Amino acid sequence: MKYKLTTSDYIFNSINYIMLTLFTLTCVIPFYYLFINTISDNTLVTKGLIVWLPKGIHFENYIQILKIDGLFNSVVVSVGRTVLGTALTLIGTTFLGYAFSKSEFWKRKFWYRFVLITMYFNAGIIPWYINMKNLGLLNNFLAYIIPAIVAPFSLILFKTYVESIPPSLEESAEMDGAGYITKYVRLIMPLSKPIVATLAVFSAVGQWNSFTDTLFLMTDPKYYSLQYMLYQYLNESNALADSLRQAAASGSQVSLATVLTPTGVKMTISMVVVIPILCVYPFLQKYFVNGIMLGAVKG
Amino acid sequence: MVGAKKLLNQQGFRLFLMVLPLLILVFVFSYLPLYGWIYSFFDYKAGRDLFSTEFVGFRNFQMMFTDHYAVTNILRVMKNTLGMSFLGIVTSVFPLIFAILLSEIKILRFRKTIQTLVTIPNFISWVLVYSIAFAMFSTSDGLINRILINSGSSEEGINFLASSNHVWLSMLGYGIWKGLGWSAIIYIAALTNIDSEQYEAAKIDGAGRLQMIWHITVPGLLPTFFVLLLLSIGNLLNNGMEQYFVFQNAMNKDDIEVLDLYVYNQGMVGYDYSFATAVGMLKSVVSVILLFFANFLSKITRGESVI
Amino acid sequence: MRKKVLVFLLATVMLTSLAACNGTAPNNAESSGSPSASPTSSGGSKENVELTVLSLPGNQSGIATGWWAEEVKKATGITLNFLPTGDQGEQKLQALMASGSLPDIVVFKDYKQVQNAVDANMLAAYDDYKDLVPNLYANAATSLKYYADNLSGGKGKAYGVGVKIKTDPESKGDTGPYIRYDLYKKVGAPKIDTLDDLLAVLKKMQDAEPTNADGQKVYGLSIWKDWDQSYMTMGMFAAPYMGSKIPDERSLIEIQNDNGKSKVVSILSDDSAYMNFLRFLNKANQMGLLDPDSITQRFNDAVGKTTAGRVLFALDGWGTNDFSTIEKQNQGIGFRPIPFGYTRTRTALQPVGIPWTVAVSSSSKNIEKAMEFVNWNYSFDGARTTTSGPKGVTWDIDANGKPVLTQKYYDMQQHPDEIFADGKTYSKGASPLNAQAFWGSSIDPVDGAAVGNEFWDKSPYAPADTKLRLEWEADFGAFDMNAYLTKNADKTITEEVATYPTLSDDMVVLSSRIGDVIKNNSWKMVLAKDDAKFNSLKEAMVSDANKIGINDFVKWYTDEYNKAVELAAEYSK
Repeated sequence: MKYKLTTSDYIFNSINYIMLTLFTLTCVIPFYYLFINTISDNTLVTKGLIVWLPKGIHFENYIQILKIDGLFNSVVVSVGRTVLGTALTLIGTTFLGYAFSKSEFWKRKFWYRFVLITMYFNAGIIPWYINMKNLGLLNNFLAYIIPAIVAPFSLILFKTYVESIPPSLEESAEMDGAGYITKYVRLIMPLSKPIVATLAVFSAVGQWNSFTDTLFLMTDPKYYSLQYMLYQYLNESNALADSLRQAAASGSQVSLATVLTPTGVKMTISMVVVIPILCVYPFLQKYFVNGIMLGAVKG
Repeated sequence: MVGAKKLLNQQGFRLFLMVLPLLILVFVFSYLPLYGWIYSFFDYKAGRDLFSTEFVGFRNFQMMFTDHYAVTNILRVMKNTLGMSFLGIVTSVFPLIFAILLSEIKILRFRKTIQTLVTIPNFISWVLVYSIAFAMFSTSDGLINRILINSGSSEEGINFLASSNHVWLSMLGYGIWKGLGWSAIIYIAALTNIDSEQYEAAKIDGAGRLQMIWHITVPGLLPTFFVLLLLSIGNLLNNGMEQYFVFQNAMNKDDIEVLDLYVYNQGMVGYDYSFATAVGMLKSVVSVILLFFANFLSKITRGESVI
Repeated sequence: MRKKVLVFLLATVMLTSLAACNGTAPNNAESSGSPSASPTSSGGSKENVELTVLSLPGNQSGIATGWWAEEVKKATGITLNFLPTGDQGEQKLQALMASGSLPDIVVFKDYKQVQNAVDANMLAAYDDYKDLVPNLYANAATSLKYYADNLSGGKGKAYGVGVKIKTDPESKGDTGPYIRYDLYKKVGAPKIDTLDDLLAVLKKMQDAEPTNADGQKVYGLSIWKDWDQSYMTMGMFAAPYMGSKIPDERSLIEIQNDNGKSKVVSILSDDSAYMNFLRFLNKANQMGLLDPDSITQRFNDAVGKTTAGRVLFALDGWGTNDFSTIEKQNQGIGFRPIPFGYTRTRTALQPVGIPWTVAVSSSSKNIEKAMEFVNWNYSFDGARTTTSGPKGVTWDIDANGKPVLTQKYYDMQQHPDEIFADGKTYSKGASPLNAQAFWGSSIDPVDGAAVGNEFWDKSPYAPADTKLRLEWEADFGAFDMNAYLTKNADKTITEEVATYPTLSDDMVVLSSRIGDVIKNNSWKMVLAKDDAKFNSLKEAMVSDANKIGINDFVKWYTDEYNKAVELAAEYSK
């Protein structure tokens, strides 16, 4: 605002706006397509007649999901694991990341790599299951949150970010004789809000979307998460579709019209999963606003 | 005793003790299960005592390489795997560019809206992406073909999804479309860490927009970029398979089959637990080796190690 | 000094905070979970026992509710809690086995899984609880003997029992292939003896109706890619109509009839039904009858097209019912089965059942109760309840002592979305076990009627037959396809065995490798522009398949098949 926009600025701006708008449209239109398919008459959808506008609008697909047994409980479980899991991940991972950014950390390189390479590990499902069982994490809510406390990928991002904070800032704080914890709480965390917000988004989405842990570790329905319920719901509709395959052989008459198609179910589930994320994400965005933090601390 | 005392007096060691519980967690959840790698040397059957099952040595590893017919296949598959990984790595700069372009948008509400909306594709599963692609590109009713046929530029319609042309590029395109907005989040966060005083100073010096981007923004994002680059080199062999699985068909299969999909298509995983373990183990080891190799390269070319 | 203390304090704080989470988090989950958990665990009579079930063919989890669960509880006092399986059931099973115990009741999907569980001593033998399972021994004795002889690790006891036991042939019901009967008659209903006849008929039909009511293009047939395993799966569905049989999606062989003896041949041999079918598809494609999206679309897309009336011929029921609504049928429009001139292969009886297996865990704390459930499942009353709903509600025994569907059954079919019992609709309240003891056509010796209601005498409450069906009946002199085939038995052969060999691990891998070549080339052959291209692709496919070792596969299969025939002879009545 302070200085005049030059011609090249105008050109740059127009191109930039047009490009980003076009790309955003390519992201939104398919989503719109999925959405109108979930609210249109299922028979028309099956016939492939819904392209631009919804026809025969109804919300049966969503109502069916609301009717899933134990849905409310699973939402509570999912919200619980998302909130608690994310909070613990943020504390554990950022503090470890901060510690690894300190050159005086005992055998730093070794321990950093010790954590980092676990990203690439693939031990197989059986040892993982037995390990969780031995730790008493079957049918235990903690199974959702404890293993996530240290997230290597997030840790790397956080460490990289912290290392780009000018060391002078920390040195000035060290003068006051502050310990690691104080510096972490008072200085590093406030300066790292954008990256913490990013990690929160990653961790929350990961927690919200995860269902294999439920599938393997939980037998008590009270620990079923929402994603797991949706996954199971999808399986049921797949099973119904499969039964069509054997319909003639067994002489039974299965009608597609009364059955929600697996694709329809998948689309509806996508909506159910994306919409909460789209609602929460904008609230985290205020931490992404450019370059205000450093100035604030310095001033 | 003296040594221990000395250690305890070190600040760094006390910091280590502080985070020790976290490191123990890592050990418990990531290292302990690795004992399962031993299964790859046995003909393991779940439920039976491991040592009552047959010890097969490296047979499961040899199986991956010795089949005489498989050699030509493996070469083709490796070409696809490395080719697509390479394209992925080259285009991993796109999220960075996207984040910069986004930050140049000064209307805050517009920027936030775009930033939110472009993350949507990340949450749409590949199966549904294929459904959408099918709705757009299918020969008989696809949107694109309808336009082509109505405008008279094609009579029969083109079967885009069954085309063997530009398979890598179209796969890359889908991948970028799906991941761009999501991957950009990291850079959007990193952007905020760039000292705004630098921009002020540059403005006073009369620097233009592009100059500021090139001399201030890009260098500010590079550390993050290099870390991510390094990690993706470690993932060279892990393209995943879902995307390629849903898009594969007889016409494009020769170009689309990456390692993960190949192992699946050959029916090698799922039936034989020991073999699956062997594949998983080998890939873990190769990934870690690649990671350290890339780090080594970075050390000799850029003079600093990333990890 | 102070710093040192601080460090230790911090370390302990972190540890205790972890421990604190340990204490509080589950409480949170519990307190928040309990209000909604209560409706699922309602009921709660004193005698009631909860059993956990892992059903690999099943697709639901959690405590079973709905009419079926109510019936089970009424009969046995058992509540069933189904463990999560989904498409990762196999891995879940392996994990459970590795950890040393299985849930109370397990339904396996193949013999290998049963064998592994028996070898690991994880199953209880029915022989040790004979008194508790009288129905099982009365109604599934052959199957039990088979399991004791072949799947007990030499112990001679039955650790499992097969499901869908079929002791009587289907004499009623429809089977494919289906054709748009109204259009078929419109073009003069020419006799279809060969696949070439079929092509000519389909072409005429397509010319008679090039687009559907919505203006979408109409195709002779539409196939899809996503069911393919080791070859083009459509071939498996086509084979029985041509007097052949491909047992499953991974077996690269056909069982042909050679003067009353079965013969195993490679699916790639020149005169195989598979190759003939590929030729048919290729011709269809050259004539513009094959949906051009066949190579890229999935099952759902194709079924959608059938539902929309864009397909004239289907190998099986897929979506044809949805097109042929009652209204359309009353106008004479819709799909009906069409027989070809070839000998038709009909499925054999399977007194052993299919390889899906019901077993009880040896580590169960309620083995007796689990046995009681199995006993109920293998009673004819239980089986009829599972397939047709609660006795006395949707069906009942009539004055002649035969089962018959009630008015309530047809009401339920009219209003499938209404709550039927226990807060659920009929279809949602059905059995999540997916392990019916008997095939629908199996007959209860006591009342001489079959298990499945489609084989019962016509109910007085059943709706009137549609115009389409009556027309077909008049044309073919039989009420439905199975009745027609039963009547024309000279044009059918019945397989020698119903239970085919299970592929060994090595054979699965071999089949996948060869399958890779077959699948690809088959599709390319179908889409070949001319016969020369078709033939050159075919030669490439055969020679590649030979190189990888299809002959080894055929030889292995032939040996195993011959053993299976011997076994079948032993286990058929």
